[in-house]
Amino acid sequence: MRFFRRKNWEEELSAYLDGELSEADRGELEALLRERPELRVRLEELRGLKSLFSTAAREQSPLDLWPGVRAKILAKSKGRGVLPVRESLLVLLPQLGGRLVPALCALVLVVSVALLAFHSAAPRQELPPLASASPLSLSEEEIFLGGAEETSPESILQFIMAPGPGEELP
Amino acid sequence: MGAGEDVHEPSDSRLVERSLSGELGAFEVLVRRYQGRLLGAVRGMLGLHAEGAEDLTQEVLAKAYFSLPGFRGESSFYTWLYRIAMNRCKDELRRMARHPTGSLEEVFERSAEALRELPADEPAEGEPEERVEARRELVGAALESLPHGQREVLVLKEMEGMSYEEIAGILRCSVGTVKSRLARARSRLRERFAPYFERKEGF
Repeated sequence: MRFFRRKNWEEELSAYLDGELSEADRGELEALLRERPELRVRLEELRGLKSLFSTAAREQSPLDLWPGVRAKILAKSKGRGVLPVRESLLVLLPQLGGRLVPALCALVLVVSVALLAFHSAAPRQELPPLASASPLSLSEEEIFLGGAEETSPESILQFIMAPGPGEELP
Repeated sequence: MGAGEDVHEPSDSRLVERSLSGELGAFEVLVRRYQGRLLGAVRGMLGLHAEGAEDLTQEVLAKAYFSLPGFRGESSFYTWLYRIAMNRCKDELRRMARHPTGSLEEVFERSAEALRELPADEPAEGEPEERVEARRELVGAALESLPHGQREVLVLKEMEGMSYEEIAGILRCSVGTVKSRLARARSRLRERFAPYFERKEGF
């Protein structure tokens, strides 16, 4: 009975329900509850309320808020001119997309036409496979030496038979 | 990485650091970690106006992203987030007070009656949607009938399951204040719900 006079029992019942009373206070309140049925009724009513709230809390459907949060962050970032590093690309690319694609197409077309024109104007140079020791290999040597127009089978033979630097004829 | 930090579960402070360096993915982890709790708290605070809770919570989280440079780690990240959300809720409630949605008493009576009349299945799969909706509306009306301070402690206790000490930390008040506010909130609601306790199983 000392407990009942000393404490605000409404507070104590509420804290008891939440498991927030000290062991001594809990023992005292439980003794009082055994003696006073009206307090037990109050406690059950509070328990019913608690159950109502906890059930409602459990029923809250889990939602993914991130897509909406991300959209808001990106929208605000654009406004402030500050974007997270990775996201800045994601935002800028779609913006550039409208102009970037036609520009890239035009560039590819110009480069293609230029390459085609250059290719048709330049003399076609077909090199033989490096494995064949044809006189054309020599003519390649001659091109390097600047005498391709004078190449003939005789000159090739002379070239082959000629001593190298520091060599003497037998 | 801090001591004892799980490689797969980076700490809040590490995620904040990474978010500050522009890594939006780190902030995404923080959002997914706390979105459920925060949304529950916002819904509770908005009471019957909870249909706007998702938008408001998203707005709060986006605002938090830009406010990260001001987060000094003096409280937990969630506490900091929660305070931003509650400030925003207060603004929203002030705005809504100018546009009342109807009689709170009517909503309370209607949802309480609906709960009494509908079959009381276990609150799990299979419970009629009308009953879930009626319970949600009743809780919303009950919360809305409380003064702000009492509503806040009740949401933190019942919807978030926090201890008195945690609530005191978040609200920057004493454990005694939490205890008395909670008792007053429950006492007030108990009186209001009294006519319905005769069929307690109905709730």
